[in-house]
Amino acid sequence: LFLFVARNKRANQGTYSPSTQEMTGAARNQMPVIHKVPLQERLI
Amino acid sequence: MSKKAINVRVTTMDAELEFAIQPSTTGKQLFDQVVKTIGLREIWYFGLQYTDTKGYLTWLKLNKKVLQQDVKKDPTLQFKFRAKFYPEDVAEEIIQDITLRLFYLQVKELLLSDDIYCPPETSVLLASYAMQAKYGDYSPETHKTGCLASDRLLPQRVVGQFKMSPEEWEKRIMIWWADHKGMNRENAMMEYLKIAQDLDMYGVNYFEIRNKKGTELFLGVDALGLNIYEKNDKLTPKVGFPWSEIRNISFNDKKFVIKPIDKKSNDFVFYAPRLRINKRILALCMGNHELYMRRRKPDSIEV
Repeated sequence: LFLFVARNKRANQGTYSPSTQEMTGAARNQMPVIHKVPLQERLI
Repeated sequence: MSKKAINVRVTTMDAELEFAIQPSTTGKQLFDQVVKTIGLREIWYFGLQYTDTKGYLTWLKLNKKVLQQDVKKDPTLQFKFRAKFYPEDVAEEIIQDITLRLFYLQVKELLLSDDIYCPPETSVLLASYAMQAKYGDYSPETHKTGCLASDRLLPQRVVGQFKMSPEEWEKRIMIWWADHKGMNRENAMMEYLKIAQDLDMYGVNYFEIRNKKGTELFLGVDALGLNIYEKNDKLTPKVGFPWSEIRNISFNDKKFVIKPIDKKSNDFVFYAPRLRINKRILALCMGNHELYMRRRKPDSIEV
């Protein structure tokens, strides 16, 4: 996530990596987190 | 109430809500207020839509203050509460009646206004479920010819395709309607959505783009990934990029790049008319992909 934020510092650029998210998502999977919050737009 | 209070009107598909917010109120606080008021718990599909000062339809960011988001300055700020993301399968995912009703009304509106292409036969079948949802069982005694005259039944495109009178359309719809005898409102709405979700344009967010050569195309973002369409055919994608095959998507100003995981495939480069469109595309991709991942983790979506 940090990488993402860092790379979006400039307001005219943005990037997202579905494949990386799916790999790190596997780690998040183990946490008993229930997402109840709607997705927030993380762009500037 | 403090003098600084700002009036806000939020319209859902079937209700109009009025709120007063403070200058410090965030998008999330407003959103939470709306979902609490209507008793909605399956909140992850929805968002608040508004027209910005430049006239663009925009989704309210939840993590920012409402007043910092360029909302068109009317005495009462106007928002539409709408589904922003769609389930992959309505029958599997939608639990609450309110969620079902909001999706049903939104999808029906898109179909009737021809924003989602629907063939004539399917349009008639869908209209019959809509009548079951609205009036209950068909009864030949009460539902005489002409009784549906005030209902919006079919897309204008379908009506214009055939030389048929409104009464003849009505009759066709009634034949199917009679078939649904005993079906309750919720089931009728669910049957409607189960058919609608198989239509090619259902749940796709289209954006006008150009490729490197300047050819006009459409980009479609949906629950399963990205698709590229030719300008004259929004139904059949020319190229598809499922989430699992995308390494990376990025934009720099008006340029947008899709990098496939497979290194042998070429990057797909396109240009959006404005930077803000690219921001919107990326945000929609992230939101859709996040839901896609959540669906594939057991028990992560709970009401």
